[in-house]
Amino acid sequence: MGETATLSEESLRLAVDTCADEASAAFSYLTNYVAALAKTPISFVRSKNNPATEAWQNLIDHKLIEWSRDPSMLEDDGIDAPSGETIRDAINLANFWKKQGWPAPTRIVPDSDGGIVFELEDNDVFCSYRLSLDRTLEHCVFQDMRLVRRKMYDFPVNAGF
Amino acid sequence: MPAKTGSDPVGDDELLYRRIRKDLYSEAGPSPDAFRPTRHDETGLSVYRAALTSLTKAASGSPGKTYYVAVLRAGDLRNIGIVVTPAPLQDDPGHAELTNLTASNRRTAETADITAQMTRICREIHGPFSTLR
Repeated sequence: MGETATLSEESLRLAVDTCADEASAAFSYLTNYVAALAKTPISFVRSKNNPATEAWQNLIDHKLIEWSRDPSMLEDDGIDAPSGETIRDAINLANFWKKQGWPAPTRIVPDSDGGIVFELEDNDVFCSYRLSLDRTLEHCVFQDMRLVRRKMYDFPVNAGF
Repeated sequence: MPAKTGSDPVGDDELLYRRIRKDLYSEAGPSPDAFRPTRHDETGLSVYRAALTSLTKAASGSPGKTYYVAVLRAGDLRNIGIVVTPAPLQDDPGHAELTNLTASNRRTAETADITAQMTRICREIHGPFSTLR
């Protein structure tokens, strides 16, 4: 049984405010907005046995590492494949989020400009993190597939994980 | 009334095909990136008019690659503010463009908003289709 943390909207906002410059700020944001949009406290489980850990590992092994072996598989007309460096950054980011016990994304997709997008959908809330070639991280939150929040971060790899 | 030539205006009831790279579709549905313009979409995002282009042709992309095809209705696109314009090509009279989704605005909040909405109004997904080498 893992440790269950229940976070109120207010505490989530406070957490985001206080860790805005830290490496985990981006994903804290996700939780904050899911909670804020739902207007109810949310719970999540941090545990070594968290099924999300396995889901993260599957995505890392069967998507990101697979791409790193042959990025050219993602090339197409007008489509730039992510560079080895971008894929490595995405793997580092995924491992970091996995270790933090955050929910695994619904899907990881390559974008057309050599970036990689982590998508997470939960009922009517959809979040995306777009890791771009220039190592910026764009976070978008949608409710009912309408954009309600968009924020850019410098990629936290530079902050030491 | 169905279009007879590629220059005819696109009617609200016309169905349009949008080719999607295989990585951009899963059981969860299409990714918003399936509708995000690329650097090649200088004048608009390419779609194909079902009345003038076969599903097989719309699904045909780069050799050796696999695709899905999303079906959208022109009137649904217009309802979310998308401009649908005929853009017939010599080898494909059914080619049309969504002219407010372009290479130059692909990184904007407006495009993120529109492409996310497009995942909801997508009527069907066909495929996968493999393009022969």
